Amino acid sequence: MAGSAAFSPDIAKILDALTPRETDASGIQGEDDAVQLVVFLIQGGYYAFFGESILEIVPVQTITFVPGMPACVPGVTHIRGSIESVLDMRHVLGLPPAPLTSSSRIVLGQAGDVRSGVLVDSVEDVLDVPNRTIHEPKDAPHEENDRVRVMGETDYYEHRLIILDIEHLFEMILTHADRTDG
Amino acid sequence: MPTEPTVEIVMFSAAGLNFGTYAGQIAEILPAQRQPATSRHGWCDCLGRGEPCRALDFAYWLERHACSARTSGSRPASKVLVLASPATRRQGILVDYVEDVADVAFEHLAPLPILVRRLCRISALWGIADYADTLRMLVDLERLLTVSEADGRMLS
Repeated sequence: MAGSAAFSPDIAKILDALTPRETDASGIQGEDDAVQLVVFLIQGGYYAFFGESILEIVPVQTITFVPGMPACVPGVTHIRGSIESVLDMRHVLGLPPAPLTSSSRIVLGQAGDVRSGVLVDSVEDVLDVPNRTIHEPKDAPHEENDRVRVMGETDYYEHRLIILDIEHLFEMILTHADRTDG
Repeated sequence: MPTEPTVEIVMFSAAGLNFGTYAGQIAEILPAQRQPATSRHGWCDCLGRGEPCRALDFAYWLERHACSARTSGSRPASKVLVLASPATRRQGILVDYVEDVADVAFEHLAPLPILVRRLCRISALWGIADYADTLRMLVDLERLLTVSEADGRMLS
């Protein structure tokens, strides 16, 4: 979509006056020799984002449907006074939809100038992991899914924990979505 | 004491979804005097205070262009929002229901989040209002009509 100049003059003025709320993008910091991981579950599989890209983890409140959005974005929601988009991680991973539960969470991530909530089945942990324990994936999980870039994997209580690149995820969602002017 | 800046917003629903529009774009809110037949491009002929008025059936347009099915909560169209600008004189938007016309404080208005701004197929969406515990998509109706007219010409 073009900038506010694309709208009617009165609306462009209103938009110019609405100052986007800035959120501290410093994220959750890990120790020097360790990285912080935000561990979440999707259909029984353990995944993580690097903590430095995560601003908040919040329970799911109402998600308001936005017409004209790709299916991977079910809508928008309130997160501490801001209105944020919500990206459905199940859809991204090609998994069937599931009803929201009391464990469902929205992980608010930021990469570059893109900020969005990511809907996950649950958040299991936020932990510091020594860099040396992160290794190349044993196989190529989600190799066929170009929206997913695996940064590495590690062990998490005898589970395989796959670390995903949230910046790549946002880039690919923006690149591949079919936006045609309606 | 300084007053909080506000924007007057017309709150309406279509296809069971909640929307708002800047009230400065609206000249009149009229009852739809009959259920008009809608062309395949989404336009229909209405009567506004006895005068002919072309109106875009917004629920139909949403279903056709934005992959947004009419939901079970939607009602039959009941109102026509007649636009104010000379360019769109005697043109309007057919909506299901007008809920309210209210001054909304700037702090309850927000631009679209970046993913929505970049991905949404409805280019006439320009923001979000948080009103009565409901988030409402704000629509630039003049832009919607302009885009829809161009779309109709292309399809004709």
